[in-house]
Amino acid sequence: MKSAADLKDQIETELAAGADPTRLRALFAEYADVMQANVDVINAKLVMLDTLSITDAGTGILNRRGLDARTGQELSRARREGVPVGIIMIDIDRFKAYNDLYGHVAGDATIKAVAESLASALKRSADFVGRYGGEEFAAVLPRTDTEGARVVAETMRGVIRALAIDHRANDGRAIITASFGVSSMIPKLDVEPPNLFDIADTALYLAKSGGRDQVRVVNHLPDAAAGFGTTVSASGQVTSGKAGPCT
Amino acid sequence: MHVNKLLALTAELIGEHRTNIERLREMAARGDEIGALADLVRLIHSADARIENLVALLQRFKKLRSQGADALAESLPQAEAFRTSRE
Repeated sequence: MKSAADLKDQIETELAAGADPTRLRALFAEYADVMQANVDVINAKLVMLDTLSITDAGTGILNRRGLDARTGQELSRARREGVPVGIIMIDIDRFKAYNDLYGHVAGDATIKAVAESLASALKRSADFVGRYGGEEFAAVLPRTDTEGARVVAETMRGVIRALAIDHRANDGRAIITASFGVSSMIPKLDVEPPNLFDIADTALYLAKSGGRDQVRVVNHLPDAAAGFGTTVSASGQVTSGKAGPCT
Repeated sequence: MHVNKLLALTAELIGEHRTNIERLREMAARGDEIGALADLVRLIHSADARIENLVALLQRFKKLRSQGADALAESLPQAEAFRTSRE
């Protein structure tokens, strides 16, 4: 098959020589076919670049940019449809101590293993998890209330424990564990991905300060307006199951 | 220009490019005037070169970013030059 450049040169030459229009039209059609193949190749490269730009190189899951972008889309959808979005913030316990003890190569491998486990715990195609930064991850669960998100977080906690990665500096637990902050909301106007992550981050803080390796739930920001209070529960205790509006 | 905007712009250009290629095929089949077909070939050829340059630029962004360099700052003049030429 001739290249597009060769065909264009041929067209220009035959045009100048006053070639038969029927022959020229055949060349135009051939040029269109070749160019179509070129576009397909270029488009494949672009799709790959687009995917790479939102993928965390160390783990293969979404990076922060991808996480923010997809979360923004889900918030818009949830706002339109008036349905809740569940969010889980995840942080590997005593990870600095792990890196100090086992080295950064082992640390990177552990982050990757944890990321893969978290992704495997998501059973619906609409759910996604991304690397929020360092050893922190976030999972977003469309159409999921607080109780649903808590159940997923407990599953995630279990799969990370099941990895049984040695961690002698983890408060006597001997294996890698993680803490989980859970929340859910029916977003209103002006709610951006950081707001949603901040709420779950409050729950994550409670999980950390409560001894780690546990799931904590916060329904709303503590200072939320319109009388929406804070509901907190420790792992295994059911909090109020319905998501509420966030102002 | 942000790299994501450049990705979106490139995708948009590829869409226009596909439309023009399809138009060329239809015009050739219809037996349209040769001069118009030749003009369209020149347009398509020029757009193809620009799109290839843009994709190469985006690949460079990606490579530089993976090396920890500030790819955007370094390649910004090229991106702006492309935008200006398109306008």
